[in-house]
Amino acid sequence: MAKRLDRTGTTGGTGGAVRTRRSIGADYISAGLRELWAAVEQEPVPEEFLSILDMADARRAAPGGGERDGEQA
Amino acid sequence: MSDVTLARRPQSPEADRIFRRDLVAIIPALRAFARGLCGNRDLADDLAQEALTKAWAARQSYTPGTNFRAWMFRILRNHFYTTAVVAKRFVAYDPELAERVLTTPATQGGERTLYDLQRGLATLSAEQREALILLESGLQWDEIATVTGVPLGTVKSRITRGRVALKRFMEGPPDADATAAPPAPPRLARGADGVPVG
Repeated sequence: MAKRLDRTGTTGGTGGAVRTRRSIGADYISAGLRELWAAVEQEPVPEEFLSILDMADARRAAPGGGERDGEQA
Repeated sequence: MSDVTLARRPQSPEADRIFRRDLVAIIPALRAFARGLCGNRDLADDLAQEALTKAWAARQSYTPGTNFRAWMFRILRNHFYTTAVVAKRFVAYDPELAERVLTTPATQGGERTLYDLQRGLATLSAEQREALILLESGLQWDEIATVTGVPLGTVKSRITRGRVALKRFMEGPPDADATAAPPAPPRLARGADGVPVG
């Protein structure tokens, strides 16, 4: 069912649009933050991330290496 | 959390293999959290990589069955706020972005953009920003309290205040007509005895 348009050709005029946007303000902020997060998550993971654990193990296995990098979470 | 599965303490090669698998699986989320903390892609990736190295070295300290995602986020956050920020290797947020925020008003009239949202994030305190980001990453409030090391009430306060500040940035000041006092009711004509007439 088509929405009824007012004389300005919108569904509620400027005031209505503002009120609607503000009434769902928290929703568009949440959605935007989730979108920002998802955009980074969907980026291809750089190759160095995948080899960094091997390098860490190699450093620890080398003479003088150890658990110095460890951190209690 | 549902996206990682850890059931064994990382003491055996098999446990190490499982831990490593879960570590690799959480890399995208780590990058996203790091990006949210410092707002700069390259610095954020450095931060995430260092957190990964720390977590791998500290895998014996992880207790299987506990919240791996929160454990990892806490390592990254602690590294950011202690070593990294103190050493000034990372900044709290992209300074160029922050400068643009100070000189450019939010988008007016049209659709609010993700760019505006990023600019709005830069205006928040670091504590508010991280709380909002963690919430929208899927963490529960109590998990955010665990990651950030503050009471639940503090988390709720940061999220509430952060949302209000972000909303204010995105929407600008309230409309004049929305803040004006409501019109006074019409005055009725009164007769000589004070009783309204008409």
